[in-house]
Amino acid sequence: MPKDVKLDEVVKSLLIQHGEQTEHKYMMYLDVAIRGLKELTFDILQQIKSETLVVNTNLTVDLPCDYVNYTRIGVCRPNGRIETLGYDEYLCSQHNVDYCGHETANDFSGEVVVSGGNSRNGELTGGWYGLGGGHRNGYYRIDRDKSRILLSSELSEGSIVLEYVSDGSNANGDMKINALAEEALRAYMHWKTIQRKSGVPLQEKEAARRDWYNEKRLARARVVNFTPDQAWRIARKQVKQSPKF
Amino acid sequence: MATTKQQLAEQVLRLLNSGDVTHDSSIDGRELLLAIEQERDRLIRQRLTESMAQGEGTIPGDVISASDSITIKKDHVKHLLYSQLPGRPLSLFDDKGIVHVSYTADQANAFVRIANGNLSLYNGLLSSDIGGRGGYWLEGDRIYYNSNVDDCCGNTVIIKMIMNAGDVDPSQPFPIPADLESEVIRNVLQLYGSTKAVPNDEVNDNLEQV
Repeated sequence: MPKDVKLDEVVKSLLIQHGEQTEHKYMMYLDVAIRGLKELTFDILQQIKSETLVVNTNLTVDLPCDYVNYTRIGVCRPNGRIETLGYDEYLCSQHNVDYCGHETANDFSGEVVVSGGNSRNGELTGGWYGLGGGHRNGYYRIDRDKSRILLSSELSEGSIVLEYVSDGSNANGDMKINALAEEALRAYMHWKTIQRKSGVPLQEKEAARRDWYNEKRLARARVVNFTPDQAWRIARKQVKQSPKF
Repeated sequence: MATTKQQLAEQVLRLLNSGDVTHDSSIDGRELLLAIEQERDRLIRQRLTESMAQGEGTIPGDVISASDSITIKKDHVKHLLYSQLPGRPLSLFDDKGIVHVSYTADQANAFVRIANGNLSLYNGLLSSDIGGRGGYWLEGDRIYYNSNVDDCCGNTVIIKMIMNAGDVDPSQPFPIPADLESEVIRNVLQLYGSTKAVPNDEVNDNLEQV
């Protein structure tokens, strides 16, 4: 598996390629590189990250800064599996504020209308009468405006597992790109750095744009991990043993 | 042996006076020093601008002056760290008059130049942190640093720059390419040669004698 390449390395090598020889334009190039990384992550790399997030006292969880969309929200159980939470569009995004100005958790008391759950010798035997189908042990709602997840009271003082599509960026600046997409990023950066320059001929800009799309196509072909073995297995998935007559 | 500004001025003075220089020479050595400085800056700027226009960004090492162990100070008004430049840098595009800034003992990790005024432009962007690297911007005779630069533990910086010729000590080696020396001399000679040919009005009588 090829290693990831630091964005710093890509930026420096492109500066050298462009004949800059000094790092005076490093910051501008770095900004373009971050845009390129996001672009490639959306289209090709599809980076899925998983993070355990601690629930705040007001029953919310702050979204990571590189969050684009979630793929799974749940709670990690001792058996090593993620128990997914249910989506509840009625969770209120407004919170009461205490005398210090801090948001407080919404009051969910008296909401559940189920009777009991039976147990024998301390072991749960089921029988949650009155509970509808599709019940989950906690609910969530995404509040994009405030960049957080709203949670129901079952999840207070705990943590949740968020699996999400990342834009590839990293708040501490230590960003990396899959080595297979490095050339595509370089092509993107070259195109973007000349795109708005009046002194660059239109043909050159067009060639750079085409180069970027071509490299992106190549990167997609490289990144997709589809082996002959996988193809073989899919082709034979419907073949089943049966008695021969 | 490296040439000094003083030597170049003496050479021009001798050429202007066709040999030994007497005390009553109308042209003073200090005047020539000034002309040599101006001519050197003009020629170097012209040469670098031409090469940059052709896409060649390399700055030749023989025009660079390096000053190490420069202290990092604190600007208590702006709440920023800064260093005093050892001289004025040559004004080039993208502040390329300053070639390199880093901790004295760590030249492999140079600070990244931030264009003056770009703090607000990049504020809130991921690139504003420059990947955790030290950054600086030029402001007059100082360079200010971003928050990744630390003044603790006796940290000092090394600054390599294309120094304005006026700030180079006349007795120190003059940062000028050897092939440019003759051009500087020729241009200064041309300038002062024409003034020597013009008669001087030596009587202060409110009448211009031509």
